[in-house]
Amino acid sequence: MTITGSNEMSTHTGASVNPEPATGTPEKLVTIRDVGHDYPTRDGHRTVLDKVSFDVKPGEFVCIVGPSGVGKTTILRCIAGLQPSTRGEVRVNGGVLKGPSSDVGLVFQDYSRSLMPWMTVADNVALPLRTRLDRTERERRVTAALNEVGLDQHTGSKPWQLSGGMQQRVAIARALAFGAPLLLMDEPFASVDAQTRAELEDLSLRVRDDSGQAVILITHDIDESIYLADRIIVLGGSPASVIAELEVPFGPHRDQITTKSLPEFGELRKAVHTLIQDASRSMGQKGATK
Amino acid sequence: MIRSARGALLQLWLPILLIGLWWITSTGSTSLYFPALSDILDAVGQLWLFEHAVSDLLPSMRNMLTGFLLAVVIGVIAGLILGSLPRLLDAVEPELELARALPAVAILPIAILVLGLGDNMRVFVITLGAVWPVLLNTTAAVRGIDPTVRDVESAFGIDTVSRYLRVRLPAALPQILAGARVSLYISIALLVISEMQGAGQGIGHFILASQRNYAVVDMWSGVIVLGVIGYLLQLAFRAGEAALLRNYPPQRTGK
Repeated sequence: MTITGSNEMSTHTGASVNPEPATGTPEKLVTIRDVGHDYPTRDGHRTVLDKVSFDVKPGEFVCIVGPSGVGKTTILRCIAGLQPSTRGEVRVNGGVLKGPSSDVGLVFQDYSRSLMPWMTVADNVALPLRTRLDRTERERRVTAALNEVGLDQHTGSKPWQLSGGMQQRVAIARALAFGAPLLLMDEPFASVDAQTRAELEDLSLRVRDDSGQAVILITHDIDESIYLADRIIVLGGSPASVIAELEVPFGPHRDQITTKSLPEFGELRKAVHTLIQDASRSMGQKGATK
Repeated sequence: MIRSARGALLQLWLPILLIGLWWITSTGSTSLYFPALSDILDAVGQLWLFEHAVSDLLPSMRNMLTGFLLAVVIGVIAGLILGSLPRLLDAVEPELELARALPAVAILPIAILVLGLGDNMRVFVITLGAVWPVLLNTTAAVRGIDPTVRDVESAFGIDTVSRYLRVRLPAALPQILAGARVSLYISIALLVISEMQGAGQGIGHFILASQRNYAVVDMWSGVIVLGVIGYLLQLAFRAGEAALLRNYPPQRTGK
C-alpha cells in the first residue's frame, strides 16, 4: 500500500488543518478529471462512471447526490484511494492519488462495522495516529477531536455501549483527528433517527467551520444535501457523469428551521429533485431496453 | 446469594446423583475390574496427595501446557498470516487439509523414531495435534473480517504491525478462543496417549503401568484424577476466555 500526499501529518496541530498545497493551484484542493470506473462482470466489464470531473476548494462543503445505484459510492471510493479509478485522474492537495492518502479522512456509512468494538472510544480515534505521532501530541489531538464532537465524557466507553448517533460521532472524531484537509463521508447519517440526523448535520457544519477541512458528503437525501452543501454535484446517466452543479448561496451558518424555510431552499429542492428524477427515469429506460 | 446457590444446585444435582449411584452400587464390590468407589477415592488421596502429583502429574501438566501453548502461538501467527493473504492460503490449503486429516497419533511412531522417548517428542505430538483447531479458526476468522474493517485499515494508513496486532488479532479473538478450547481437549488426549508409549513418568504412564500390574484401584484413581484435571482446566479456560472477551459486545462473548 502506498501513502501518497504532500502533507506531512505530524506538522499539523490538533484537529485544525491549514492545507498548503505543494503544487497546483491553491484554490483547488481536489481536482477530479475524466474519472471513469469499470467493474468486471462475467462477460467483460460494466462501466459505472465515465468522464466525471469536478473540483473542490479548500474548506468547501460539497454534496454528491444522484439516483440510487448511479455510482456515488464508487466515486467516493475512487477519491478515497480505496478503489483506484480505471481512467482519469484524482488530485488531492496537488498530488495524484494512487492509493489511500493521509490527505483524506473517511467517515463510513456503517459505524457499527467501521469502529473496533474491543477498543475504547479514545483508542478508536487514536488508532490511525499510533505510529504517526508521539504520545502527547496524539493524546492532545484525540482529546481535541472528542471535545469537538461532544464525546469528552465518553472517552473510556466502548462503541457498542453508545447510541448510534454517538458511535457515528466517534467515527467523525477519528476522521477529524486524522487531520486530513479533505473529509469524505459516505451516507454518514443514513442509519440514525431524524433528530440525531439533524444534530449530526449541524455537527458536520460546525466541524468544517472549526477545522477548515473540505468535505465531500454523499447522500440520497435532497434536503440534507441542500442544508449542508456549498455546492451540490448531481450524478446521472449510465455510465454516470456530473449532470449538474448547483451553488447553494446560504453561507456557512445555517439553521435547521430558518434555512430550510427560505424560499431559495424550496427552489433548490425542486431543481435537484427534478434533476434526479429525470436521471433516474433515463437510467430506468436504459435498464429496460437492455 | 440464594440465586447463585440455586444455580450451583441446578448444575450439580446430576453429578452428585451419579457419584452417589456409583458409590452405592460399587460398595462391597468383589469385581477385580470395578473396585469400590470408596477404595478408589482412598487411593486418590494416598497416591495423588501428593507423592504422584509431583512425580507424574507435574511433568504431565508441564508437557501438556507447553504443547498447548505452542499450538496456540503457532496457530494464531500462521492463521493471521494465512487469513490475510488469500493467495498464500489458496496455495497451502490442500497441504493443510492433508496434514489436518492425518491423526497426530499416527505421527507418534515417527516422532518417537526421530525425537526419542523424551518430553520433546511428547510436546511435539501434542503441538502437532492441537494446532489445527486454532489455526483453522484463526484463518477463517481473519478471512471473514468485515470488508469495512479492511477499508478502515487502508483508508487511515494503519501500519502493518497495528493491522495485525490491534485490528485483526482482536477481531478474530472470539473465534480463536473457540478453536483453542478444542485444542485444549486434544492436548489432554494426546498427552495421555503419548505417555503410554515408553514414558517413565506421567499420568498416562501411571494409568497404563497400574493396569499392567493389575493395580486396578490405582489405575482407576489415575483416571479420576485425569477427569478432575480436565474439568479444572476447562474451568480455568472459561475464566480466561471471559477475561479476554470482557471488552467485546455481549452477544459475541456468548459464543
